Amino acid sequence: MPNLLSVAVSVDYPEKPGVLKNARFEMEHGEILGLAGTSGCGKSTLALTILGLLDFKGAKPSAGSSVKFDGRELIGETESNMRALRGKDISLVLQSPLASLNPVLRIGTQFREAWHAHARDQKITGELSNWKRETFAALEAVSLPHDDAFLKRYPSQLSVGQAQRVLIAMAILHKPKLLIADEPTSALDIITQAEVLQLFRRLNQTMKMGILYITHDLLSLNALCHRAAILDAGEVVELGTVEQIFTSPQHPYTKRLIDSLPTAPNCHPERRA
Amino acid sequence: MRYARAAALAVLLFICVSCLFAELFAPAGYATQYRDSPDLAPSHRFILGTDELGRDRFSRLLYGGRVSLILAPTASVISVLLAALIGGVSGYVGGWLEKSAMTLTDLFLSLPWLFLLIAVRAVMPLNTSAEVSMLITFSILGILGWAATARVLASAARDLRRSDFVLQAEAAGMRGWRLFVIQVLPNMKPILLAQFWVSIPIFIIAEANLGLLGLGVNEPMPSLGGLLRELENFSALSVEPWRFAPLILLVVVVSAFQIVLPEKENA
Amino acid sequence: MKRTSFILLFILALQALASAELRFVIHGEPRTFTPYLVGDENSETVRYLTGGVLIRMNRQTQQLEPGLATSWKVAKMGTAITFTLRSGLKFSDGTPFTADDVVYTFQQMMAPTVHSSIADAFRSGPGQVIAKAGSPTSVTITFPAPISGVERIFDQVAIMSAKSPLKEKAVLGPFVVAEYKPGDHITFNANPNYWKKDEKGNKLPYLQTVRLDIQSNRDIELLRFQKGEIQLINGLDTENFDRLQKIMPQAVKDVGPSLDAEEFWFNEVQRSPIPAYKITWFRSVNFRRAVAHGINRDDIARLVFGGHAQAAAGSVSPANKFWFNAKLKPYAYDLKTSMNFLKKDGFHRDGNSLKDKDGHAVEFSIIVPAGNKAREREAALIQQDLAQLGMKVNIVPLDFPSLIERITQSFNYEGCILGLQNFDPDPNDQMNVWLSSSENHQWDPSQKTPATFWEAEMDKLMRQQATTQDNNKRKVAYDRVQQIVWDQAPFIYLVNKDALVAIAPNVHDANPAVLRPQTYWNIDRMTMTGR
Ligand SMILES: Nc1ncnc2c1ncn2[C@@H]1O[C@H](COP(=O)(O)OP(=O)(O)O)[C@@H](O)[C@H]1O
Ligand SMILES: [Mg+2]
Repeated sequence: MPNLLSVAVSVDYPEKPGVLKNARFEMEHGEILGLAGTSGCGKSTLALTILGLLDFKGAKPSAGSSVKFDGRELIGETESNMRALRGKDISLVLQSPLASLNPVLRIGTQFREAWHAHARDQKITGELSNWKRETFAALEAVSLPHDDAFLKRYPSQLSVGQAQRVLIAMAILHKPKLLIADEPTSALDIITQAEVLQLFRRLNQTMKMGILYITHDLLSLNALCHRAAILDAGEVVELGTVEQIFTSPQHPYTKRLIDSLPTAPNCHPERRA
Repeated sequence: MRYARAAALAVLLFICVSCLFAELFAPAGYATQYRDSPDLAPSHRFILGTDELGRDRFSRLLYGGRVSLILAPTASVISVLLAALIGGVSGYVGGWLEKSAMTLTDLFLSLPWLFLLIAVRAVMPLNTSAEVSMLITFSILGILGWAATARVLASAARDLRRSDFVLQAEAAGMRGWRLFVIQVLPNMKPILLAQFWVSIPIFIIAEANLGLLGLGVNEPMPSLGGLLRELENFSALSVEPWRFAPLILLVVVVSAFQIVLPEKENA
Repeated sequence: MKRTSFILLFILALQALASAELRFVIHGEPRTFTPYLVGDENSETVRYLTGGVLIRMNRQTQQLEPGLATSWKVAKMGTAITFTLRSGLKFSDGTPFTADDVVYTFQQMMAPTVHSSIADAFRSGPGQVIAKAGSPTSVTITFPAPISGVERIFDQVAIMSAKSPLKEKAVLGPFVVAEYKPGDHITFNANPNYWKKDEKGNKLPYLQTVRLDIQSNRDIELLRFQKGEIQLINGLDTENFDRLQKIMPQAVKDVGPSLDAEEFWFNEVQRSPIPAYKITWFRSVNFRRAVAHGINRDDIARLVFGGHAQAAAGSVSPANKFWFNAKLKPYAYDLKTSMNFLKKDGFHRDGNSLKDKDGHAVEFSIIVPAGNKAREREAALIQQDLAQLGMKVNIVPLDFPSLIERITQSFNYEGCILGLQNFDPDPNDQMNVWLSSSENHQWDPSQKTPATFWEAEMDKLMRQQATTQDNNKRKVAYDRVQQIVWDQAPFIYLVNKDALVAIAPNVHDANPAVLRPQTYWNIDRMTMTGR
């Protein structure tokens, strides 16, 4: 059985070449892999590359790049095949929950659209429509109210924590094999952060979902992940179990990262809007 | 401010109702020529007097107001929809499409639209009834009026295109037309609405300008613009102040729109 | 004390007289100051004020009067004219005037490189126009072919000096250009060497200075007149006339019907891109006469022109004293007669609408120049009048260039209302309208051979009068042309507009005429007192 994900990518931005220089790592099925690195080292770029959404930022993976998902090469895959994959097999949770929800659409509408992207609704009289049933299940899984009243809400009527859970619920709607969470906790306060990490752990256990947990926060990485990859200057400079990396870091960059820990464990230098 | 809005709304409503139901309120038909009583001052029979051909000015004002009040919003809808289509879509899709759409917009904005309008009107079929010609006039205005709005919408769409929620939607597998219509377009609604309300008075005035050139709505159908032509002879106005009526109506309607506007925007 | 104040008053009055400057407005920049190149009204005004001509037409009597020539004689069947010139005259700069100057003027004007519409009027056929001085006071001009009424053309030939160093700035007319500020004004001083004297032997002109302000806006012109800043207005429109009449009743004058006519015609061009059955209507004299009888001309005169117009009978206005065919009367407004004409062609009423014999509803459009209020109102009245006959008329205002394009190039129109402007009473001035081969034969222009018997007859009559010297014989031919136009109604004449002018009360001896330049044609005899 092939890996869940095996990545070897290089990316140049038109104005900024060499953001990723053959960054490589693999992920097993059901594994939580942490991907850490300072802000601006290319983590989000990597996430978009995997999803085939790099053109959103006006870039393309360089020749020779490879993203193998479940043994299938995604680089060079047609857009319609990629679309079928996104949100179904691989889903994404972004950093700022309120900005990632459409402000003018009700929560219900956003779930319905996410559902329709990959499934047809079979309307059976007297029963809940498919999308609603699945939506309620997903909402339940993230411990949010699962009723019509909640679906009627607008994003502005949610707290940040709730919004992040909504995003996660949407991401797991189609029970993907891989969930990419790009700094999902950076915008949250410590308590909510802990709850979300708890939620990821639970999802991983109950749904056997692989999670690529992207962060610049080593403490949360330590608390959640099985293995970790350290990204620096566009390369994966270290890859190993969390214990290995924290107890005996090999690469000078990793050492520096870990050394910096006790002084400012929860200080987030970059807050993305 | 609240009261001003309420008052403006009331005035607008009053004008709209009296114009829309012109048949009920107008003492005469708009084309009826009382050839024995031309150029009269206001009297019991003719509240605002009669024009040179003996037509009742007050009735013509009501019917003319109706034409402008119905058709200006129609033109506004046309132009805003076109703007959403051209500006919104191109800004959203980006790339060469946006570039060419913006070039087209610039071209349209730099065109002497008046001459364009004259040219378009000149190639219209000869035997169009006054009703059809007036529809065409306003449609042309609407079709020509999209460019400025399109710019605003393109930049809004461009921002939306780069927003996190669109990225999130794409990551959820949404794409194409449906993504645009369901996720992006509703976010432009406030701009669309604002542009719609702002365009109405602009089109009323544009038709008035055409009317001044004699290229507005055809005889004998009146329109605010056509009626404004009576103001051309400014030396007459001090003697016959009632000729100001269409101008006053236009100013009242346009300023009432301006006052009512912000409230509508939020709705 | 009393005496000093009297003297003071006297001096003041003198000053007022001396400083009296006659002012009026031209509506645009003169295109040229060279007399033979004049083609626009503004340049024409300058030429009229400054140019000396051999023969002057009296605008009031419409008779030719001696100018620089004391007499003239047309010879050789109209192919030559000999002038006897006044002797001892001088140009404004003092250069003496002789027959050589006339020869020089003709040489300049007839030069092949020069595009002069006056020169064209002399080019009656292949060959040269030659001016030859017989003596210092005699000059003969010969033309390639006879020109009827050739004398009248000399009203427009301002004589230039062959020898003066000032070239065309040396003039023989009553005034000399003193200052020209483009876009603003032109001032004129009296020509000290002007030849004309009044009956008592006083030098003319009486006025010392004239100022033309360049001002295109008619409303501003009116306001300035009210303020006393200008003293003359030519060609007032009805509205302004009525307005001014209320404020300054003594200043306005309706001089009576002018030479101009408002006319309506149908497109009879066979190849035009309109439905064939409509062309069939338009080419039928019964249809045209029915329409002619269906229009209430008195209403147009009254409502559109405030009574300052008269129902028109034809292309020649009654104001044209000699050439008007007095037998012709305007078409009477008479719906019964209209219906009878229509019935002859198989038209019939069907409810509110009129149908032709094949069942087509009678609907047509009238194009009018956009922004021309009078024409649009005429159209609105005609629309209502013809609705009585069951005809549906659509009014289509067009910007002027596209209107002209339609009536001259594409022929994509059905009916049109325009005005005919006549500057010269002579029939030759309308030659280009009546000849079937002419581009200005509006209803069916540029015909290779006359399309109808009556157009053939008009061609013959027009050519005949053009080569006849005897004006009485010419009139017989021209009367017949007018009769044919009346009978066939290719143009449906609406009204002759009155010439409306305003003259400030402090201007004396003005004698406004319907012919241009209406108010100041006798400017050399006009006087003015202080405001
Ligand atoms: N659209 C873009 N064009 C050019 N450079 C970009 C673009 N987006 C990101 N970058 C640059 O690429 C680098 C990596 O960005 P990103 O992947 O967002 O980093 P991270 O997620 O690790 O903070 C940054 O230095 C950033 O400045
Ligand atoms: Mg990032």
